[in-house]
Amino acid sequence: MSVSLVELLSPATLSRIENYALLAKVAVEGYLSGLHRSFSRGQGSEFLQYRSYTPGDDLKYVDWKVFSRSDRFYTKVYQEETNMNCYLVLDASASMDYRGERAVCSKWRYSAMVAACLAYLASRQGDNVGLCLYNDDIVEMIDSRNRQGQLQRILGALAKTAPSGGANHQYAWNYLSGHLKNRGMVVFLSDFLEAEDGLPPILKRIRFARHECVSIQVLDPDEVDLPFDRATEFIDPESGRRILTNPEKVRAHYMERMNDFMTRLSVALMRSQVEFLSLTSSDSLARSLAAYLHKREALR
Amino acid sequence: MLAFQYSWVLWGLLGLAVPVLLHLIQREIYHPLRFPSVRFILKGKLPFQRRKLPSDLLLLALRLLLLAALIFALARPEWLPREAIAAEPASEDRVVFLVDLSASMSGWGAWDEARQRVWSLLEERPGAEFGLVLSSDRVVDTVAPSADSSALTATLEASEPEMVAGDHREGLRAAVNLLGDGAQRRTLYVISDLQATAWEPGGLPEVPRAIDIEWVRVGGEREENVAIMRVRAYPGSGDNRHVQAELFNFGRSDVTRTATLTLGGRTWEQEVTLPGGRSTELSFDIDAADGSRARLSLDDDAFAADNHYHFWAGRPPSLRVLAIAPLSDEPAKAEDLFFLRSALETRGEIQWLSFDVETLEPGDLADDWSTYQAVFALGAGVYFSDAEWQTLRRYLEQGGTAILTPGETPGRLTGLLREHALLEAEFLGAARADRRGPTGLALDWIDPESPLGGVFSDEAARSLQMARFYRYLRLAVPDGPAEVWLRSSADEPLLVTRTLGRGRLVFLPFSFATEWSDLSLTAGFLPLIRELVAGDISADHGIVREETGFSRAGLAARIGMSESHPFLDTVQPRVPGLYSDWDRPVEVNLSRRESVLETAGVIELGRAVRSRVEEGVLAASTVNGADERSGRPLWHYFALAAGLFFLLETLAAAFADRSRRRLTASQPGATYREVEP
Repeated sequence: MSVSLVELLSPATLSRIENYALLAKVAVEGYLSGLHRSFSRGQGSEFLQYRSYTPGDDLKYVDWKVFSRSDRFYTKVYQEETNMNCYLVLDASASMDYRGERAVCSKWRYSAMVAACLAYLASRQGDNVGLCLYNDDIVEMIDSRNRQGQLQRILGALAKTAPSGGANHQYAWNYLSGHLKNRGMVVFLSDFLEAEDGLPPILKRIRFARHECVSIQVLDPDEVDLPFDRATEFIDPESGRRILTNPEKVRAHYMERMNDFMTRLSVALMRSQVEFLSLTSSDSLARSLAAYLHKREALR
Repeated sequence: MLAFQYSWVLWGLLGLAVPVLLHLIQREIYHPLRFPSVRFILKGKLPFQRRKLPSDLLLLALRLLLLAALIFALARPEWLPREAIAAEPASEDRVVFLVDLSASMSGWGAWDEARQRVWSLLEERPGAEFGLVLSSDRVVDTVAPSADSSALTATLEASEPEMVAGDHREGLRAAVNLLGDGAQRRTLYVISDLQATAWEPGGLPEVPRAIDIEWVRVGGEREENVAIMRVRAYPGSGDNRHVQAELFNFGRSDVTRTATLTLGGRTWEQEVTLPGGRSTELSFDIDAADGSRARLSLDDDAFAADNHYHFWAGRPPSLRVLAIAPLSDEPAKAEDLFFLRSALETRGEIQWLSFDVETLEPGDLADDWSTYQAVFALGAGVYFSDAEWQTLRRYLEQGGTAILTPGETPGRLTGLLREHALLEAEFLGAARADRRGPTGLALDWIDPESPLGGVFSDEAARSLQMARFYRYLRLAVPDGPAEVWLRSSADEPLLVTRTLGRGRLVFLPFSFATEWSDLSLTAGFLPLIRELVAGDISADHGIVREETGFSRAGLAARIGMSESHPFLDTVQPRVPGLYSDWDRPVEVNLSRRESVLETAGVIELGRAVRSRVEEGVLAASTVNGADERSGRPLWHYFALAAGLFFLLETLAAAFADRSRRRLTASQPGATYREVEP
């Protein structure tokens, strides 16, 4: 019995796959086949120019006609050798380590799955892909490249990282903006808590540098509607702040403040011309992949 | 009367005050939850339960009884009958002291205390004959029983604990033998720290019931000890060395120690904090120093013998490789041999592993290749006898690596591989390419899932791809156990491999000679050959590690040499150190069984050396500060009572929880209170 695309891209299905490489391949290939589009791999189809042959170049791209005329070796260069740079920026702070009763995985795991799929997709299309993981410091920084082993390095960094510490969004994004090169795309994955004021100006700067930005917010379903029904001592995993309360009594107030936060965040990002996507960790990954592909097309 | 083996455990009864205090405070514990969006949560009102239920008192009582029963059980209670207490031993004729000489006796003042106990017992038993057995992992020395104790005294004074782990079975037998037979009263004093690893009850010889045994525990209560468990050296970045050590804190408290690494006349220090009851990793990254003889030490504690560890920090011994080349029949194989030796015998600063290549021809081979890390058959397969093919198969099944290349009759080689069920590859013909111009096949694909794929990526792959193949065997490899790791630009196999038993067979369809390919001239040839030979070799292979007390025959067998080899005369089995006057270094360190703090219980030891227990009284007895006689154990009754109290507590807690829920739901007068964070 074949698995539908909805089931294939659901976190419930994908979170059972421990290996990020396999997870990304399953999700992306399934998604692309569902779109009925062909995406080029490696060398593109539009010839761009010749360059001198370098030992180690694939002999398939040597122009033998030129050789027969001139007794010299030249390699053909195709359009997609000029590849796009894609940066995946993930929040690895302690708030991302939360997993509620209704979610099949934590916010971090969900973000990492999305990042793995996007990295695979970018690599598959011959793009340069890099990774930045941060909390109150830069946890991992992998510059965007398209060399062999790059995808494995990125997936390995995702697999070995455990979220911890606070989230210093300003520091991380300022650091990142100093590493961006050429034109490309930056995908942010975070819960964006405490970021609604600091993030939009930075993204605006990144946009001015002609990079496309996609912000993907990942929340747990519990954060949306505070479903608890017994007296609870809530503890902030980053600041350690504690609040004893009865969730049933304060739920309405919580949802009002959460909606207010979401509104301010989305309006600020819209003004900065940044695409904003808000997901919970039980949503299908298809939305993330679609947002990426949409932006990728815009860069052509 | 009731007595306790571990009376100090009864101090735990003071902990019974804790549940009482908790009951009095009666703080309700709320469900804690780590939640990201705390900033949006308002502090609110909570229900507060005022009245205590009667079931709370019952729960408190059950919990106190449960704790008390557990504490009594752990204190190992026993019932001493009056006869055992009142009885005085009859006058004794013959006494033998079995004195522990294992390494742990050198710590905690145990050795000095042991000698003092012997001196005092000599004075307490006038008129008796005294003998002595000194025991470590063997019988070190004996003194026959005599009324004149001068020989015993001199032997004891001249002795020191040996740096070996204890095993006193032979010592116990020797002591029983010294006591002999007869109607005289015979007493055996076992004077030892009774360390649990040296006195395991299982396996102790039987002591006749006519012999009284007195267990004299020395060394006091041991609470702290830190030991270096193991140290390994690995190649680091560049010319550096990476030294990795495991330390273990046998005590319960955290301690801080200074570790000192000594190598080549230089020292490095590091302070390390060790949590109680756990192991801790410690590492040093040091620049390459002259010398390979290293030692890691900790500042001394109560037991200093385990604070030092001798280890080899240099390059591991060379790996032996056998190259079989039919030079008499195919002299051209000398070129293959030349390139193979060049690749393996290159010794650079950054090459941690080294190889010694031995060359033989078919027909001159031994029937056991197990001492070789890898075997190369350079066009030699077609000259193997059936016996040599069987030797090859045995070698592979036992974990060896064999690399075969073709000679002048390649079709026959592939046929022989199929005939001996080593490789099912079909020979399709020999391919030749015109060497003029940019011809010859390139290496186009490396299996990324293979070990070569992990090594040859990016720039490293380019070095292999620069090679050109002008002559090679065209093979068809069916699906099955064989794998193809390298393919040419014509998509034909350039390296076929399969596992056999624990080993691996590699077949290269080309020779190393330049007539066949220029692979051996490229930068990728050396790493390719080394990876095929030693890809899964650990950085510290070949180093022999022994615990003190090893036998000469055992060491000789492990390192594959004759027992009469002169090197074995230089290795002292009872002295920790590093012995490296041969091509394989031998690390000798004290067994860390001597580091444990746990001691054996005298009741279990007493039972272990008797075949049956006399009614009412055990024949074994203890002397531990004050005279005690062993009695009937009662701990299992208290353990049973603890189990019963636990069951009742669980039922009572469930009942109390249900009662509280009913009260909270229905009680009209319950009030709410604001709770401050």
